[in-house]
Amino acid sequence: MMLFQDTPGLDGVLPDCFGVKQPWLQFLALEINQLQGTLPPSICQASALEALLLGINALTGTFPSCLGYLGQLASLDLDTNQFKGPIPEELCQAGATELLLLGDNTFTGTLPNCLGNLSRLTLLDLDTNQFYGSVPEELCQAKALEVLQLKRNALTGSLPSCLTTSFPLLETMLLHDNDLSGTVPSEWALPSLISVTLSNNPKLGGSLPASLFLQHSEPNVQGSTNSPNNILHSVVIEGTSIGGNMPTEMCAAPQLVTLAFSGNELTGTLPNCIVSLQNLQMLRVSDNHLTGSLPEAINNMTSLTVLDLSTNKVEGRVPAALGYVSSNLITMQLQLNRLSCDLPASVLEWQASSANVSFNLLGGNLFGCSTKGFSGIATLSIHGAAGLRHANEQAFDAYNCGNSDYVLPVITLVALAVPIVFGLVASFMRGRLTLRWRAAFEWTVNSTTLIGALDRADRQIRALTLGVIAAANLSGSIALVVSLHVAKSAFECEYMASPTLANKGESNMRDLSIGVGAAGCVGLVLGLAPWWRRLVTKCSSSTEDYGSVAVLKNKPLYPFEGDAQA
Amino acid sequence: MAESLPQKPVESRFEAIIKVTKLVVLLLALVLLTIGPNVGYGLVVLSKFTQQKKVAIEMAVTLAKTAIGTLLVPRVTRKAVDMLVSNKALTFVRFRLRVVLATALSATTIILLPVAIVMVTDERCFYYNFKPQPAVVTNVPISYCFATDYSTGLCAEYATIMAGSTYTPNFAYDGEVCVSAVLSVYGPVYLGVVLLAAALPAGVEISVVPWLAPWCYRNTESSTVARTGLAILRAVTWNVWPALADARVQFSDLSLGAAKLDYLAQRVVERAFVQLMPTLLVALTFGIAVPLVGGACVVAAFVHLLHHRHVLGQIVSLGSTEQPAVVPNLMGCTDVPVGCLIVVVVTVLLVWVGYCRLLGTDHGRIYASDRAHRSAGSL
Repeated sequence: MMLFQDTPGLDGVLPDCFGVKQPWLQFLALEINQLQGTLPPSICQASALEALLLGINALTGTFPSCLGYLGQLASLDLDTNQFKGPIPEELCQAGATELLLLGDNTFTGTLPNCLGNLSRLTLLDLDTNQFYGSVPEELCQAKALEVLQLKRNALTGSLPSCLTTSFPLLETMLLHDNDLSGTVPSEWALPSLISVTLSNNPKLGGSLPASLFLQHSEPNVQGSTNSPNNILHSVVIEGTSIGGNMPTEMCAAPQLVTLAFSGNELTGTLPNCIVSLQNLQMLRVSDNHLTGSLPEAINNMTSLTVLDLSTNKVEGRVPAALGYVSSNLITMQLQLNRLSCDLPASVLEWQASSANVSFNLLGGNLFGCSTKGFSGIATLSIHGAAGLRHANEQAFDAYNCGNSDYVLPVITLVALAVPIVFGLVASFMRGRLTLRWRAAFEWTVNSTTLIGALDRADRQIRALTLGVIAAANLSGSIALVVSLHVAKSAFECEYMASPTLANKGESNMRDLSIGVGAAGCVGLVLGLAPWWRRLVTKCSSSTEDYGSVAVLKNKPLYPFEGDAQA
Repeated sequence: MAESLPQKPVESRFEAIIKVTKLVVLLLALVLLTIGPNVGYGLVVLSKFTQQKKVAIEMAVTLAKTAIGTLLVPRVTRKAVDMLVSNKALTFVRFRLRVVLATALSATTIILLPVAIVMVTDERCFYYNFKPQPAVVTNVPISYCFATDYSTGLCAEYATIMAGSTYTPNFAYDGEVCVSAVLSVYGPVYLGVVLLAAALPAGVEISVVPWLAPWCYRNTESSTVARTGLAILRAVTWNVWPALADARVQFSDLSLGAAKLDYLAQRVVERAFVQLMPTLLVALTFGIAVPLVGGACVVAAFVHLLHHRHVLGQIVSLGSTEQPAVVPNLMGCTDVPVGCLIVVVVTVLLVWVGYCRLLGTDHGRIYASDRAHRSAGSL
């Protein structure tokens, strides 16, 4: 006998005697209702029960341990209820169990070691509970497992190494949102694996295992590691302490749809071969320490909808191919990297025609601007600013090369300063600017036979702060003049080769100005020097070296030759 | 005699405490006044304001910083030195103290504070070190086998469910990006401050004062506007307006005398030093990294020199009209004090060492690849 109630709306409690009078009941499906109360132990009287499906209700209480004695029970679904307490060991007696769905409750305690005894178990769903302790190694004995969901618990300890090698039929392994530690097992042999998640296990370290991406690999067959049987679709490992490089072996999983490795400690470069993953829809590797450059042929990833490489250390130029990236793209986040050099025109064109794409390329990167002419503020902002390391700001209204913050201030300031500077220079040229200070105090004593008092008026001697008198034959009353009129001020008397009396205040002012100007000149020259610009922005080549838009449009790029060699 | 002896030291100590307190309050007030616009500006830059609003605020901050640098810092310096040093101190001692103090204040308010504020408030620097980022929660597609082909045992059809994926970004400092942030946030401001601080006073003194000052001077008794105008000119031009307004023609009744001319000449040289030192600081820090700012420093240095030489020349001509003719005496106010050199070296070293250290630091995590990048040695 089977009892279904698949129309939502059934409420109330299960009667205490439920099951006593239905020993022939085989299939009880009361999912998606509003049943309340506890699951009566009398249910265990239904000894013929093969499927007890009570998911998505409001049942409370503890797990009836007697359920373990239902020898025929193959499917037990108590998912999304309010059960609490531990899972009794008796459950493991139900040797016929194939589907065990206990997720979304408030079960606590450790995972029973004996779960591995359920040799027919194909689906184990214990997610979103309060289980703690480690994942028992004995679980690896449940060889028939196809789905293992332990996500959103408080599981600790390291993953048993057998967990990644013991399940030939395992398709889905969801272990995210726990507190697992240790390292990710390096050996993976789960030939049926489709999806794996290990996200939000902050203490989980190690590195991305290459073998994870080589399921079904047959390395002895012509040296190939890219088996057509590789059905790995989703690898989501975010928010862990996994470091090391992204293995190029991931390119051997052509069915990959999702690769999410954000918030880890990954280093190294993004493998260029990743562009061969033409089914890949999501590539998220933000908040890592990736270096290197963007793959050249990124437009080969024709299925891409999400590309997030933000907050890394990806550097170098933006490939023109980025302008021809998938038309399916919804999100592209490249901010907070070290991308630099000039932006290719294809990217500007692409952005202009992709208003609905969430796009962030300029924020927190190191773009300079083209030095090749001023083609308009609307598309390319301030020019002649080679080497500028400006990172650009948020909330750009338009897609500009470089920092549009410079545009208006520069124009305004130039408009203000140019007339003034021009006016000053013009006044100077016309003699309107009096520069007699120097003339009044420059006092050259050429005579080496000067005797007697200096023929300068007191007022002029009085103003001297530096007298340089090198004439060897001076004699007479000059000492008297100096002592009377100059010694009270900071008169300095130096013997120099050139008999020049110069005003020190004016010359210091001039020297300081020259110093400031020289320092500014150094900055100006360095900033405009192409070799310096390439050094600071790590642009190995100038814009024209990496191809024009027309060439790229007509000639598909062939990717990852370098990786093949690697 | 015996009664009066103990009182003197108490009085002088009290006065000294008051004096030091006033001095500290004065300097703190200036620093706080400078922090305000910098923090406000930093927040505006990081906000979601429209670009137009940001640029408008940027211009306002540029003007404010120019005013602080050209008007406020010198006045505070003068006041502070008056408090610190007795009136009987030698002129050139006071001069040197003023220039050093002004340079130190400029270094703090123009270079160090802005850099520090960007470091703290910008998300590209240490902001998330002080305020940890919230967890990132996203949905990622997870595939599963929807239908199996039992003849082959392979999955015939896949389906996708969305699964939540959560991670909390760790704070990771990227020196290059942070330095870039500092430069990009303050590059435009420095560009403006350097140019305006040089061009505006020069423009005002050379173009506006000669025709405005005579009118103000003639009408001081009859017009409040003229009196106010003259007060403004006095403040803006550091009292050198009579020299610029051509006293021979307009101020036949105004004899400045030798002492006044000495004072004016000293102030012009002091002003030149006080304005050139911050420009030098900018040139040696931001000017080296941002070519536009470097270029602005070159222009500013030229304008400063031309402007101040012109003013000195005017003062000399003014002296020649005195009876008897006098040439102003700088009274030792001619040297750039060694203290300025120390301030400049310390500030520039702080900034550059900071930049270089920041470039080389990854919040405790240094990777071999980073070291390779840093070998490029960029700012």
